[in-house]
Amino acid sequence: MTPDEFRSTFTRIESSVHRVIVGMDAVVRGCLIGMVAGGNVLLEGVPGLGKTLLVKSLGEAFSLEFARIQFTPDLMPADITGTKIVMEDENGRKSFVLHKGPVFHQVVLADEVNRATPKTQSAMLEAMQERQVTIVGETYPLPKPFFVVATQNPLEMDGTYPLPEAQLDRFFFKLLVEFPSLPDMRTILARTTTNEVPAVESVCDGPTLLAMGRLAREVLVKQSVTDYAIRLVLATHPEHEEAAEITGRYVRYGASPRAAQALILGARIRALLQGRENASVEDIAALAKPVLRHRVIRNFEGEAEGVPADAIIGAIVEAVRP
Amino acid sequence: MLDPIRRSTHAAASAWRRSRLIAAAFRGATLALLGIAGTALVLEFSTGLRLDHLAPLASWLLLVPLFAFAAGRRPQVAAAASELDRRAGLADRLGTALEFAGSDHRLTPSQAADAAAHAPAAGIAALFPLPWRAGRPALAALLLALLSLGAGLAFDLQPSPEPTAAIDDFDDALAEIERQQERYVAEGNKEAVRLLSDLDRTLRRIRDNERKLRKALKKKRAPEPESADEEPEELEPPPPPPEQSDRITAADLERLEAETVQQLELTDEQQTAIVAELFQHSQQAKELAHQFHDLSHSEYEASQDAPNRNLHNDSRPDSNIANQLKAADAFANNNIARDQAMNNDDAGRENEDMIRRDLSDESQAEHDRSHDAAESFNQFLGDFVKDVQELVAEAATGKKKKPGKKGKKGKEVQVDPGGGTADKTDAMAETGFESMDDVKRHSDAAPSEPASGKAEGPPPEGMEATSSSGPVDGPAVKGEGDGTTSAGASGAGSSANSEGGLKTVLQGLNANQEARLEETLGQLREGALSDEAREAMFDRVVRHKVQAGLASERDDVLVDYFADAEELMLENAESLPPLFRDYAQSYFDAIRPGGGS
Repeated sequence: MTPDEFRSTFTRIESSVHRVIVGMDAVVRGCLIGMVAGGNVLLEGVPGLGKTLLVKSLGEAFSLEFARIQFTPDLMPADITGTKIVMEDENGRKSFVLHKGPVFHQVVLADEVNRATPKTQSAMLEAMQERQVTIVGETYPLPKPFFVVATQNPLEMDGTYPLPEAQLDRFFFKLLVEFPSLPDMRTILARTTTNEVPAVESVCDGPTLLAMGRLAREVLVKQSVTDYAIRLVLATHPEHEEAAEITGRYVRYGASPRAAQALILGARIRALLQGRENASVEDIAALAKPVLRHRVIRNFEGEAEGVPADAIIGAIVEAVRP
Repeated sequence: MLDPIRRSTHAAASAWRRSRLIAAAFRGATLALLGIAGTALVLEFSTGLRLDHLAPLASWLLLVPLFAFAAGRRPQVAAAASELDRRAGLADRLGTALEFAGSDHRLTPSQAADAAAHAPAAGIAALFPLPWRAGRPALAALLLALLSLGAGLAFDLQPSPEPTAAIDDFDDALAEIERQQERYVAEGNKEAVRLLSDLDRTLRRIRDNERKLRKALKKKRAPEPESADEEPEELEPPPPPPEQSDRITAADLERLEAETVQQLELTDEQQTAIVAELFQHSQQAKELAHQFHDLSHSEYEASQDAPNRNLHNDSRPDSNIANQLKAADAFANNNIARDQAMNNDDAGRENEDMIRRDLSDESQAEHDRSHDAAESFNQFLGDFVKDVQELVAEAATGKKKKPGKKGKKGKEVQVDPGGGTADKTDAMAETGFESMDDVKRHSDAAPSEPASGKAEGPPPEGMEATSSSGPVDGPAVKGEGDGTTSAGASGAGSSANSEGGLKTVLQGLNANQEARLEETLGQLREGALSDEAREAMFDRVVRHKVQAGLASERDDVLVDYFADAEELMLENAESLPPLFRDYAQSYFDAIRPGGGS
């Protein structure tokens, strides 16, 4: 795959998704970047904004298997990963047979992931990071490509279990789903209140998505750009000498090296989308918020004052000069 | 493929270097000008800013090339490429292409081609504009420096020292002068003592003027009296300013200073006129001195022919008298010749600007030269007095100084009271003068009281009793004249009946008289004569003036000269330089009877 093919494919996927999804350009592009990079995406937004439809549309655009898991407090890990059950064959012999859970699909939507217990949430960790699950002592690889999109509601916090930092760090991006604008609402209403139901056209398959990922990893990144990404991550750590002033005031813990990886990888993909074969500091800066906003843990003062993570990251980006 | 990228990068490096160099020069200039301004202010408020400070201040400007040199190095290619990427919005295309040049990465060629396609071929200089905006702080600093320098050079912003400190300095200087005076007195350096006295008076007067000025300034600052125990104002208050204000302006200070300086200065014409007039008096005095000598000589000759010569029953031959007269003539001629030489010398200087008194420090050398000129004038006066005394002493040759006479340092003005009266004789007797009758009586009694060495009678009032060390036994005799001052008849002891004995007596007496006269005149010139002795001496002169009639009128030249000179000084007191006025006043005080030293 060449860069031009990458751009054209990407553009076609976006167009196909946008046949169903109105607006949410940044969210759609962020999800696509995450899919190309092989990462997982956390969507945060109030209910009814089309998050589930977005994920389903993405799977359909790539002709990938899609599964939706509604996380509830009584959801068990086996409900996600699956389990082995005793089955009796035609001869009357009984044996354990694997009953695969929804995690074995290529695109998994973990809807309202923060409503499940931490035990259940942790069942997703191995799948999200290692692309495998272990059931009754036996490990099963997940299909490729594998892509988890989780959603959470920022308002209804009662009866929820905030995701642990370890699980948050495994999300490539955290994307904020905004309420649609007036024109977008008109379009949404026009599309969904008639007999014509728009459908997502499948424009590529899994291998194409993997090829796009491989090409993205070949994009050139000069050392100063890499250093900028590293300094940006280090600036989120309040105890580090590179820390920005606002970090020391509102941040309890900074981003992990996975954040730097996400920055560089996302910058590469963004560079290809921009028509370049090299990543730049502008790419790094543009992806700083979706990469870092769920990795920067605010301290008590930051939470008490209601300082949003995006404001902290914006200040860090301003403070760290390339 | 990379050539366009390298060309663009090199062009960017040059433009960037130029921009950085100018920005650094502006920063250096800003710091340098701020340094100049700060240093100028510090200098102004510490020692006062002067024009010769400008050169050291200019050394601050060395910061400009220093900063320019530090920032003027050519940037590295990678840094220039990154800067060009940033300014041109190339998203690190050029920097990445240069960094991955030669790499076998799959996307390297396409990336380099993309970078080359985007590399700007022109307009790079516009991407690195000259940082004229950075010159604004430098411009502000330049304005500040100019203001500081201008204010420092135009106005005296240096705070005036504390008055007490200045007065302490004066006191220290005066104390030092006093110590030096004591040392020179001990060494016998009279000239140094006199110069130090002049300096002492000058310093005291300057100190007094300063105190007056400060009081005037203080009074101007605080119109209401500050305290009840303050000393009464000695100086008349300065004239009220044209506009009422509680603040002292620089104009007020300049006006007060100008008034003070005006009091201390005298124009050259005024000085020349005063000195010429003084010298005119001195010339008249010298002329009268010559006449005095001539008349004394003729009086002496007349006395030799007088019939009363036989009353002495003197056994001296005429040749002894003739020798005595010759000695007197020789002595007088020497004095006249010396006076003439001095007179010629003084006359030669008369056309010069002889006395210039300037109080400024810079003209101290000129002050010294003028002082020397005045010293010659004083020397003339002293010599004149000395001549008169010597002539009289010569006329009194052979007369033994009356022992027990008061005034150990008092000089004897011996006159011939030829035309005198009885009361004159009594008055002279009271003051130690003796009439010719006394001489005669002593002469008559001489054979029976040979070489007693003691003078008869009590010492005059106010004079210390002294004893004559000369080998004469005759009393000191005051000759009497008849209308002119002349040598009186000389008395002689019995040991002087022979020519050789008389000659010895004459020589011894002359030597004795000369030594004593020299000592007395020296003290008189220096003002070192005690008040008591000086008063007694001048009493004698004044009494002689009253009692001697025509004979004393010639001597009155000295008194008249002093009176005229003092009157002249008083008339021109306002216009005289304070230094000259103090000097003259001190001189007259020193020689006036009862005057302060």
